[in-house]
Amino acid sequence: MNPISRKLATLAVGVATAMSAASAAADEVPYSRVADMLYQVMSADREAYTRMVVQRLTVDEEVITASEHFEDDVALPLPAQMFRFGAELVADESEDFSYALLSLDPINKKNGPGTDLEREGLEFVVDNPGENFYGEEELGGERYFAAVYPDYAVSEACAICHNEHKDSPRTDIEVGDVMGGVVIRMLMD
Amino acid sequence: MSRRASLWVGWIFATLVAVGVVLTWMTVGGDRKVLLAGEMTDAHHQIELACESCHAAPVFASAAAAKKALNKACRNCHEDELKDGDDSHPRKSFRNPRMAAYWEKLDARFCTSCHEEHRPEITLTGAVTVAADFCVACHSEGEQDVRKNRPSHAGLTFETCASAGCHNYHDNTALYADFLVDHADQPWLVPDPVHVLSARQRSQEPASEATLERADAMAPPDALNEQATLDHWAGSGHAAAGVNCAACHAPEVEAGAPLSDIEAAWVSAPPRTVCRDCHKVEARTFALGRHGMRQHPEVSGPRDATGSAVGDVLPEAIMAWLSDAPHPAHMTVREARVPMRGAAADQSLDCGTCHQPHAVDTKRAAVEACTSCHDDLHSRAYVGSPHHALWLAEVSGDAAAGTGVSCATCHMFKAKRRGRIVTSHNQNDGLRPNEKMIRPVCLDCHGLGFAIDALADDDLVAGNFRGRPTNHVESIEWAVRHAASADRDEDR
Amino acid sequence: MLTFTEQLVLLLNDEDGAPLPIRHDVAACALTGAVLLDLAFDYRIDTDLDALVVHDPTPTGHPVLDRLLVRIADGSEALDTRTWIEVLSAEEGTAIRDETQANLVERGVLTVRKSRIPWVRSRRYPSRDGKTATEIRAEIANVLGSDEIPDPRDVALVSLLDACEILPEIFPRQEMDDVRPRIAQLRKMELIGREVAGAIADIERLVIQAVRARAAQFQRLLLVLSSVGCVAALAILLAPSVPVGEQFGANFLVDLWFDNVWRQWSGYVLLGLSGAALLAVLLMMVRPIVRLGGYNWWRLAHVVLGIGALLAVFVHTGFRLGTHLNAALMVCFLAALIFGGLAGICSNAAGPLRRMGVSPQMRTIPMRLHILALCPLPALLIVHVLVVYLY
Repeated sequence: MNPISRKLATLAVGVATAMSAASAAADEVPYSRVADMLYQVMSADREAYTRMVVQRLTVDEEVITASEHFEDDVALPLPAQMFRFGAELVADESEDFSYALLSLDPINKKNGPGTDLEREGLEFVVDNPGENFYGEEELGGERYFAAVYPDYAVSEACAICHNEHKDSPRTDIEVGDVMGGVVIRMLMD
Repeated sequence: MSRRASLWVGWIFATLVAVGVVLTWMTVGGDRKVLLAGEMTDAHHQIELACESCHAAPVFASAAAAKKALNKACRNCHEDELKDGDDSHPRKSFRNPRMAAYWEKLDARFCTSCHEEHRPEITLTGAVTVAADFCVACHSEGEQDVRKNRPSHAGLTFETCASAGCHNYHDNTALYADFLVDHADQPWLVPDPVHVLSARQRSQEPASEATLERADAMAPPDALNEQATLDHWAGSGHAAAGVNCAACHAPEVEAGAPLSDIEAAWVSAPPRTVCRDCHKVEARTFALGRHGMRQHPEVSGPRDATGSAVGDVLPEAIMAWLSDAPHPAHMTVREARVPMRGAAADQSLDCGTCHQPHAVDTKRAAVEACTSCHDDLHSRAYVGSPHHALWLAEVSGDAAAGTGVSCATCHMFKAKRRGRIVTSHNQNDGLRPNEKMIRPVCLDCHGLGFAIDALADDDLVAGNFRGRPTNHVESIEWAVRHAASADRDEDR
Repeated sequence: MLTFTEQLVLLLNDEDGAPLPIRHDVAACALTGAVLLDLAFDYRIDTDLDALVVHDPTPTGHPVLDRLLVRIADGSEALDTRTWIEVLSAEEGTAIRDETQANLVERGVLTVRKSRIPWVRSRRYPSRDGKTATEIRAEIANVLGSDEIPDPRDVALVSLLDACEILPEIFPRQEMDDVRPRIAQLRKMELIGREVAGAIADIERLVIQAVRARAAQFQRLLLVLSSVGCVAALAILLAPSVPVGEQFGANFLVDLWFDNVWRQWSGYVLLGLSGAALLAVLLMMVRPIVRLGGYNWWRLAHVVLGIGALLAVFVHTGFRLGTHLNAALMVCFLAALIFGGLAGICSNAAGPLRRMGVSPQMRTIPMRLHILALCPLPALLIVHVLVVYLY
């Protein structure tokens, strides 16, 4: 198992553990609380990867770069890519919950809002800094609870990459701006 | 009983018996060829009687369960290939419920949405069974409308997305925009063209101290009398690597055992499995391509009726009739659906077909073995082509290792594995679609633009690259223009 | 002594007094013929070149005959014999039967038995003594079975029954084959010495014409439909498959011919139509059901359902014959339809074919092949459905 897959596996196991613990208590715990807990795990893992792997090896130690085409460039995957790989692994394994990193101004168009609720949620977290969005929607004949958490440009690297990318619709992102949101969905009983 | 009544009774009885027989064929064993609902694709026709390979759901499973099992079966054999090609539309991307709107358009969670078997009439290249302009399903409206996202695509229709050499649904490793930009402005032929991995493979000769001489051969006296065979072996890679006769003809015997043990355990015609013992990667990859797919571990074997519910009840003779005939272990030239030489019709495809068992001459296996069976335009045009001329120069020692281009150079990818260069024996890997060949093969010698143009030119491919491409695929220019316009926006 | 009309009314019912499966319009024709024969035998009417003439308007004592005699004698409708047969068949056919039955009940020959099933308003008219109708049948059987010179009235009745194809309903097929020569002989007999001979011959000839004209209409329809079915089935067998479009989305033909759900629907419609066509034939063997409309309507239903199945085959396959077992199924099915159409042509164009020199044996071959092609169909269909669901 290469380091990336190990990392992904760790992330998936972490989230799955949180999920199973959460679903066991789902009778009592409201969906929003379960979503909050899942978000905490995701957010923590992402921050850990950013700080302990990407920041340390690319900026502090300068031993490797991070790149969108990490395989061709023999580089580290970007934190946002790592986050998506985890999301895809979960989607591959579970139908109970899913998550995605989306934006109103995505570099890759497939990460734009795909449902009315996603658009509403992403607009809400942009318009209401510091607040999360919760709602319900029906997709593919099933009812889902959805939560949207703001995703900030936490460092200069985030802002620079997004401003400079040839496919980015925005070039004016500053540190601290809400760039998008994490959408967590749970299949309702 | 009146004549009419007996006719009715006879007819009902015959109907029940006929249905019973076919039902037994379906559920227990027996020849099921008659049940094939439509010819199979070229990809699967040679395993058409291994129904359970794909129809893996239990009998009378729900439609949803059957579909799931069917799609699982696709992934059993093709998932690694998709991963290797960095699948642009991976199933996992579409399983998130936020993609539900796309499920209605073209359900990318299931392979069978685009690749249905037994549909020869609507099957296109690549076993695709949706119309060639299928990209229109998702990329023609809203955020995903490519005609809006990419100014260069504004006036395009969707028939040519995947057919003009620009995009593939799955594998775009040599076609994605940044890669195109990075490889823009390359000359058609690089200075000192060498296929690097081939060159390195040639240089990894076995250590000379292990080399065996003709006199070292240890075999029963009868075998030692076959002079030609001995000569072949003595000049082979096997002898050079210290592999003596017993390694294949008496595989059970430990190395260094006395001749008497070897004679006792001697097998004059060892099975192919003996090759697999040492050449694991080659054997595994051989089973991934059309030459060896009948040996793929996921291909179901014949059903054994004796283990079924009726196994204990019915007499042996009936059980024998109810059992599946053994599935042919090897593909034969006769069964191929591409043009083949009539004289080779009875050849079956095994290790020894291309590598004579004693000479194991990889140079012969790289060209003559192919052209002795294949009789299509591209194969026939190889002899005398520029690539062939380079190959002859390399083989004769006039040119450096890796400068020649054999059939195997392009069709049997080389890969680095645990420090050694190994040859993939899945000769189909670069053909579905042929742009998959660009990175592992073409780019070592040619520029990306030339490679894309050449592979998109069907006539040039048929003529085995004698001449230059007549059409030009503009994807690199478009990608460069797009990147440049983004830079300008940024500067502003 | 019973009149022709009364005898015929009795013969149109079976032993239990339930109506035989004889087409209503044919029965009406026969009944009109019987009334006219009665009037002719009683010297009340005569025929000439262009009119039915009333000789003697004196009532006969039979209410039905007398009412019609008055109508003919009235003179307000100066019609020829052929037109009278048409008019009376259409307007009086049911009345003749109902009134005669009522009259026979009044006279104690018949009784009425109403249906015991609520809402079902069928009536049966069995003989009160259980004999009368049987005696008439026995008498006819006697006339047919002997070589003696029969009574002219019997000759007239047999001729009328034969003309209206009622005899095969009264006698089993086997016996009919035996007595055909005798019937032919009887029909050639001159009613020598009778003044009314000409009138009776005229009436019989015209009744036969009227009945045949009615049968011919049906035959023409069946002939046309059978031919259409036969040619269409042949076309499906030979025509190249209808190409589907090469555009993605909204491609109805691709859905129709390659989507599993659509194909299941069209397949079950096809199965339903084929089953219904088979049912129509099987029901023809069940007498009480045939009474609902007579053979011809059931034959028509069979042919129409067959053509419906043909359309469903097209919807299900788009002229695709399939491979292996599916091809066998398709070929059997189309062969059944082609030979079914040919059988329809043979039975409905019997006259022209006979004149063309096609022997009766030859004309039965398509029907045999139709049945032969149908034999493997259920097995093939079951397997076809099983393959779809098991794989």
